[in-house]
Amino acid sequence: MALPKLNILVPVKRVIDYSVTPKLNADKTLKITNFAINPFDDIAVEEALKLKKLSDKLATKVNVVTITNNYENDLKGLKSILVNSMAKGADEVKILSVNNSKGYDLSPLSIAKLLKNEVTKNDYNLVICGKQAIDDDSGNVGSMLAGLLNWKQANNCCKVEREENKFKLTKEIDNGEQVVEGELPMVLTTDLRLNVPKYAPLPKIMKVKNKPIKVEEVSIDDIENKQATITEYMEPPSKKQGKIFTSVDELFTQLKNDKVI
Amino acid sequence: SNRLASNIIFNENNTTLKNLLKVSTLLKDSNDVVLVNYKSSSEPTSVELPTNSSKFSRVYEINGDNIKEPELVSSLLASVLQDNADVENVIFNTQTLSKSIFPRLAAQANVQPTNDIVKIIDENTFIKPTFAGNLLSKIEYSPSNKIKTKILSFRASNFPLDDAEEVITLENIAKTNDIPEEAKILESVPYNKFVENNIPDSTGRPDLTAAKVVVTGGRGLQNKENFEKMTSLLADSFVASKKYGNTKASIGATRAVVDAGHANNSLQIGQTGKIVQPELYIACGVSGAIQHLAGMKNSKVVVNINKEEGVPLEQISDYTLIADANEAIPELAKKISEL
Repeated sequence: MALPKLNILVPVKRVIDYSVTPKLNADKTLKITNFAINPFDDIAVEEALKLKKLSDKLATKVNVVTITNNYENDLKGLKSILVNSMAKGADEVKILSVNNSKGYDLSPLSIAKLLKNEVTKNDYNLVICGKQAIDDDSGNVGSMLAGLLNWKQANNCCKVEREENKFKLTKEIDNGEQVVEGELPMVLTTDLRLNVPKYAPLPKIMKVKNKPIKVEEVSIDDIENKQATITEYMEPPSKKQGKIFTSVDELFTQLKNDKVI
Repeated sequence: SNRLASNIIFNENNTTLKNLLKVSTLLKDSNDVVLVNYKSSSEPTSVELPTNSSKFSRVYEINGDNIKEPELVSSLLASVLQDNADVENVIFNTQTLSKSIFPRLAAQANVQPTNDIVKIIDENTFIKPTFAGNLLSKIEYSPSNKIKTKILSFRASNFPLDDAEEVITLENIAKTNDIPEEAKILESVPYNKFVENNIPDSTGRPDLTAAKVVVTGGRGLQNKENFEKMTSLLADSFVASKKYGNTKASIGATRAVVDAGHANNSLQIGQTGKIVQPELYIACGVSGAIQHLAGMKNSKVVVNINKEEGVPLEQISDYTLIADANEAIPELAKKISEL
């Protein structure tokens, strides 16, 4: 029995570098200086390429797409993420440039709708998303896209195995793991332990870095995008300096006095 | 009919239902609650509820022993939503099944959802953590862009009952309504089929996200054997503590420890693991990467045991003991077990 051809889409987002703490400007807007690919999306790219390696390479496509509504400003950073994906082995990369919602964050609903269009237009049968972006920590897009497409979904995958026509997926759940299985099409979201992304090899980066990157202009429903918006960022309340001890005895006595135990 | 505007509560877990009812009251003072009970035999059937909100206008039921797939549960909820067209909010807890359902439901209802709400400002304005809890963001639903139903998930532990609120215990909440088209939905919606759960034995410890006391081990506990020995020793000593109901504490781990294979990944606390909010959090040999802090910084009291001074965790700790956790734990556990 011939296995179905894999046509994989990996949506990626450029976010704050995970090792950096975000700061606020005086006007409560975000001040972020270091950006990188969302770590879970990096895992998604890696997993897609791993699947390609294990399948018929010629019959498998891995395409990477990213979305911006601030093209001029984001171009350089997005390009570097996409060049990396190409150097690692992605077949095609693309920027969807939203031309009508400047100044507002793109909502997960808008993003899921743009991705749905991509999927239907290009006959993808597998979408691999990061389980959440580490900036807004929402984790909505994967399930929303699956909902819009009325596809199967598997969230927080830590193991993806292909068995004939079926995919067997191990998902992380609150108190352990859950195994599910099904045939394509479906949307997967990646958890931390799925794989460890490799760095793109420098010679390959040099080889692809001048390849033109496809940019497609798209529009969203601007009113709908503003259904729910982030209107303010705040620092969480800070805690006052705690007490310091050097012996268990002192600590225990204090905990008892303070009625903590 | 003259029904009040109503909220749907998806009850994935009986222990947090009272918190979700609190949420419902905060969203709308006089409301009419439609309950969707996700019933599974692994959950206790009896449930504690605030006396003033122990009645539900409608109760639907999903059999959690047979229906575990988020695709199916989401479609069943969509059917309940259609059956209750006047619903203003659909309320979820932040836990596994709910997390994969509410965005799917929202997309199908063409609504932008909000997850992980920790505070309600008013019925259209919410606070949620972002950037691994380093910042909070205020989310506003635009009243001029009125959407019929908001789909929202809440960190239940942020919505405790007031001390004065009376609770009653119900042995069972009786179902009142069938989910329309249930059989048809179960037949027609595509889903990845459930095969099995692999749940590590928690040896009688409460669920991490519901625990009153959490003992977390970090790299300072050195190896797997020592991690198990030390964390169990301290966690088990809480059987002697009346304040926390004479039960064992739950055990958590940092990502470093999980990655090193010293602890099962279901124990990981942090931005990408579990978010816990116990009354007492004892961190043993944990330095406190920002991703870890995101998972525990809202604990009521934090005790930090670390041989190094000035680790990041110290800044959010109420009590810091500068000592090698491997030496301090047996001593502390002994004192607690003699309480």
